[in-house]
Amino acid sequence: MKATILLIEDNEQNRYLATFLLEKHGYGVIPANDGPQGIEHAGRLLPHLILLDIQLPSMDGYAVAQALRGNPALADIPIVAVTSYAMPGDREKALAAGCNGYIEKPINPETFVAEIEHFLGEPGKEPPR
Amino acid sequence: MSLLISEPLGIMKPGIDMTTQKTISLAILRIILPYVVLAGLWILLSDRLLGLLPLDAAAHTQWSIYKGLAFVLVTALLLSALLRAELSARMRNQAALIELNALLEHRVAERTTELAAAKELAETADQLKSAFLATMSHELRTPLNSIIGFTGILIQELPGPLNAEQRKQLEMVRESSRHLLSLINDVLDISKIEAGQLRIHREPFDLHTSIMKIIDLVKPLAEKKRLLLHANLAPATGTLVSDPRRVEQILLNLLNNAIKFTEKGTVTLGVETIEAAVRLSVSDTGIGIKPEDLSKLFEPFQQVDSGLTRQHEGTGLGLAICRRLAGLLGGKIDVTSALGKGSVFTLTLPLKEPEGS
Repeated sequence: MKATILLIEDNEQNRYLATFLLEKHGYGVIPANDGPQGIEHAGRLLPHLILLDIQLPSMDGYAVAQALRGNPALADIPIVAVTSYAMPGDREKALAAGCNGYIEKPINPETFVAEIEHFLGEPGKEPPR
Repeated sequence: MSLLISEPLGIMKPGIDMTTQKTISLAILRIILPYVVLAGLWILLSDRLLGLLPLDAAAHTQWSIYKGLAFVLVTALLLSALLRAELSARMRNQAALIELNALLEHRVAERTTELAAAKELAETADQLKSAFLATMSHELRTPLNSIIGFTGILIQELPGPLNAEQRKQLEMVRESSRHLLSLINDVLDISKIEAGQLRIHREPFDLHTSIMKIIDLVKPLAEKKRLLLHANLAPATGTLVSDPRRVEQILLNLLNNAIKFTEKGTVTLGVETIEAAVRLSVSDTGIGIKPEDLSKLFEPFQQVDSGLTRQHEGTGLGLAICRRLAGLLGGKIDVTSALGKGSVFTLTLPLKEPEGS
């Protein structure tokens, strides 16, 4: 069993898409429909990586990233923003909110997993649990 | 209005100019002239009048004294009347000036308020436009994410094997959805440029590496059409301080266009360094452009329609974006063309960040 990844994404199709891709590559996926649910799952299940949509209902991704970074237990977990926002300053805003990286939507299904593995450390290697 | 302004401005000028000198001389003349006339008349007439009276010498002396005193009194009254008239005219002028000044100040304040309101309105409109762009960007990409994503998954055969026909059709879906994405990106790019929201990130980068990357991207297209693709790179092609992503975007667009509009022959990318600039030229042996169409070429949504070209899909935004991007990078794009023989698009960029930017 490879690393577990927390996926915070409100759009059902896109959540299924990322889950399918990641599970096919052997990752465990914890899905969350919105920010508060994602924060709760992160604190309880301590995933190896968090994929975070920025455009979320009620609590946006920037606020979610800040809340996650506010929990010392989650300090070492990489957060990768996955967003269709492509306006100037979005990348900077995501990084300032505590994200480690930024993947622009639409995702490329051929390279998506490799891009994420870059944030997990060595590809294919099982991280310590 | 300009007349009203010029008058107080003239008076407010420091020092005494010719006009003020004249005004003062005229005021003195207005006071002195009546005084001289009255005094002269008095001297001429009063003695003659006194001579007519039957008076002895003592009385005559006495009357002369009265006459002198009366002269002083009358001239004093006259002078005071003249001075009063002159001074009150002055005062009236000054009051008018003060009033005018107040009026002008009021008008300036009014204009300032109007301008502030207009600025606020423009800023609100700008914010609305930004919000609209951000929303469109998100709303359009979210469904595309799932279309492109699932198509890719199916083609990778992650859910299961495909037969040849299924693969062919899914590849068509992928091609169309990528095309749709590039259209959306073009529309967003031009909107961002027009709204002044496109940021340029300048950094030093190796132009040679960027060119090779773009050549690799367009090579399959050229091969598919059996076109020769040449890159004539001068050995001096080196480091450029500019926005690599945008430079690559322009080059990709120019090369794609050249390949798109060329049916047989060669597409050549040339690079040369001229003083403080680098000149990248993309020439083709394609359909060319009519002289009267050259000016329309860089207008948004103006794909030159010569019957033949309409078969080429596209938003007609590519060159509009390229020219604006080149401008933002401190450079330019020029074009020369011969109908039926081919076109040359030349991108000129400063080697370093332009002064004062």
